[in-house]
Amino acid sequence: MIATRMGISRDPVFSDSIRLLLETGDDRDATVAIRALAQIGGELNFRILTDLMNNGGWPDSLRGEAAMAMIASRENTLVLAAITGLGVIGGEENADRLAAIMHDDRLDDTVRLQAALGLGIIGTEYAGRRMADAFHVFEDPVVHAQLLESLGRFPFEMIETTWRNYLAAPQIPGELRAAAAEALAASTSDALPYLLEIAAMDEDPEVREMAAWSIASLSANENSGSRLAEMARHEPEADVRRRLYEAQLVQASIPADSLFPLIMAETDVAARVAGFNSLGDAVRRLGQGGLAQEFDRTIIPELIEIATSEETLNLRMRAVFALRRAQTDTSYQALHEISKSHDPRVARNAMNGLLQRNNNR
Amino acid sequence: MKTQYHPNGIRTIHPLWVAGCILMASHVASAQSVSWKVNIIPAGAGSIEWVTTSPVASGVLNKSSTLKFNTGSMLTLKFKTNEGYTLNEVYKNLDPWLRFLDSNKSYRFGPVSNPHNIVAMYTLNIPTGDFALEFPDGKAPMIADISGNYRGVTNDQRNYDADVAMDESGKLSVMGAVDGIEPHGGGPIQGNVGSVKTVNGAPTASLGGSFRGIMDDEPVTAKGKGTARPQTVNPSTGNIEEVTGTFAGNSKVASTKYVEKPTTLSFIPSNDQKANLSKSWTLDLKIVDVVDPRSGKKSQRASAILNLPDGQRVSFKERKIRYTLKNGYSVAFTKGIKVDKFGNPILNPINQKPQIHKKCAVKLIKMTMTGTVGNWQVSGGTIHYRFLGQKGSGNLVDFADASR
Repeated sequence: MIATRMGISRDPVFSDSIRLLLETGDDRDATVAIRALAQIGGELNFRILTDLMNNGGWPDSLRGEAAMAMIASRENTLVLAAITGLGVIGGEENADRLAAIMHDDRLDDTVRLQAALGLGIIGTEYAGRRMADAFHVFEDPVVHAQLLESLGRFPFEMIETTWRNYLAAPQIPGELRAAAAEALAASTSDALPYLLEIAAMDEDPEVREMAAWSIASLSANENSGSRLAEMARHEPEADVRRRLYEAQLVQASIPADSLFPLIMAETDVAARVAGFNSLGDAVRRLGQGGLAQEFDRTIIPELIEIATSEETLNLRMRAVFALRRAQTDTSYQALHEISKSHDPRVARNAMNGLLQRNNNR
Repeated sequence: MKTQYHPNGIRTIHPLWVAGCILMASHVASAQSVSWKVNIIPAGAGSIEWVTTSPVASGVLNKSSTLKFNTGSMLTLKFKTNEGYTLNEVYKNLDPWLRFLDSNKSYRFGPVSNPHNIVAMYTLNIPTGDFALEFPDGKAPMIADISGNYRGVTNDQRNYDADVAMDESGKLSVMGAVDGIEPHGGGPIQGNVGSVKTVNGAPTASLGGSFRGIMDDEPVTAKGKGTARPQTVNPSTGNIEEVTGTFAGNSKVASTKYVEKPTTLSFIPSNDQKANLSKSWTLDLKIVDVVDPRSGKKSQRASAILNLPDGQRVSFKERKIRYTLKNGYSVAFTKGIKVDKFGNPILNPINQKPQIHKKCAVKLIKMTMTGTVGNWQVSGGTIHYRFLGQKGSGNLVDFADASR
């Protein structure tokens, strides 16, 4: 290498020369410079390599060189960042590099798993085929759950067969089946029919819950509101119903009339608040009318009580969200009251609702 | 055979009965030598150093044994206690002898002419008390709660103000505003944007969503997904100083399409935002003795209060646990109920019943302790924890040290 050949290792002036070469030289010079900077080492030089790797303005080949130089440093933070970088840069060459790291049993498991997850970031069919091997490389169910989440980001048509087989396999533990349903939230919208099927039919309530949650994440202006309401009517578990109510928020229309009695009959607070959010959104869409009056009269007092109670921060925040969605005069009065809450996060949330009203005028 | 329940719950034979039987069985005295039966109960609880004058000899008994020496010899016995035990009583035949031992727990018998039976009775020291376990920054996987308000300026110089709610499964809901951007149909920008889970030992937000609306008076649609995780934690303050992640997406503004290839992002939280990133949590463990009023048998029970990063408190009711010297305590806390800062249950407003805090569990595996009554220290074991959609495990000693 240049440093060794010239007999200079960590002289600051020499490092400056290498950096200048990186900036001004051609791709071949830059490759030499990258390798020299990695060999010299030091925080500044590795910061330069990290920035180069993450900068889409550089050619992918040089970004990949920087990543491989960081991996060669064997410093764990740099190695993990570089592996993620290879995933971001993408391409078949980097998919092969990541697959090689994943299969290398001399390396730390953390590094090997990061490589598997990096294939998920690449997201191509080529990378997906490499990633499928990971289920044989790693035996730990905890790792499998993470692999599922990463593989779930691929287009559904690419992973559908794998997913159907996985969720149908009786020997797969419930926790992993639920993780598989959850992972589809990052896939493509053509997974929706399959998710609706699982959310309605799977025997495991955790799997149904995660499928319902994934429906909420994947849907955008869909027309499944009535079907989701019917599923909630027949669903015995409060946690599943909660996610079905959440999925209503992204439907083209919300069947408020059929949802209202269901939600008012809920005894689980989280399910009630989720339902109130969907009703609040329905109120905003429909404008003033019977639903708005009922919302103001029966639901808003309960939302105020929850928002100002000792309940979890999550439920208090979501109670405020429901009020912000409704946008009735009574809901704004409630937000005004809550904006004086002792919890600054809840108060700020309510204040933002009032500011939003002012902006809308 | 007489039996009774020993104070530490071990059913055993009454020591006086043992001493009496052994005495009768071993009553053999030769004219020139004599045998003493020396018993250590339970085995492994202690050892006895012995010295005789005739013959001149010495040794250490680590288990029940018989000593033989000449008639007229002096015999010194020194009773030693192994870690985790207390010498409860010493019997010479049927007579309690502990009070006659000197400050070194030693006694010189003799000149000896008759066989005798010595029984050293020990009890296992069982730790009880209050134990504070605190998440040790940097020594175990972090669990993060990110509920709160986030304000700032985007890369393209738009002010944003967003409120985030994270539920007990780590699922995220966001509502907010961005300068110049309005969602289709009006209302705030909002959605279920993903979740926080533990990936490769760190809390990682997997985010995604789609948007349809108006941006700077132009119709816009957008779709994207990404990840974010803490990159740098300040060792002094424990604050998350930098968050890194990946992002990819596409959008269409009016008729122009944009594609954002996978890219790495770095985000430096403002001081206000750092305050939202909560990761401190503690487990206040209580172990008490409980005596069965009918049998008099003593056992131990454990309860705990978990103080979560989001400020919520979860109370786990008492459950029976068992201590052994080798394996300590193992206990799983699940199905805890939500309580307020005073420890009162937060009742369901609909049915006025206590509410279980779902998907929240802590397990203590082989929690060993050293010390004495009233002054116990955790010396080993593992803690496994799962809440807010994330999980981790660590060494109990690190958690105990962090609380000091």
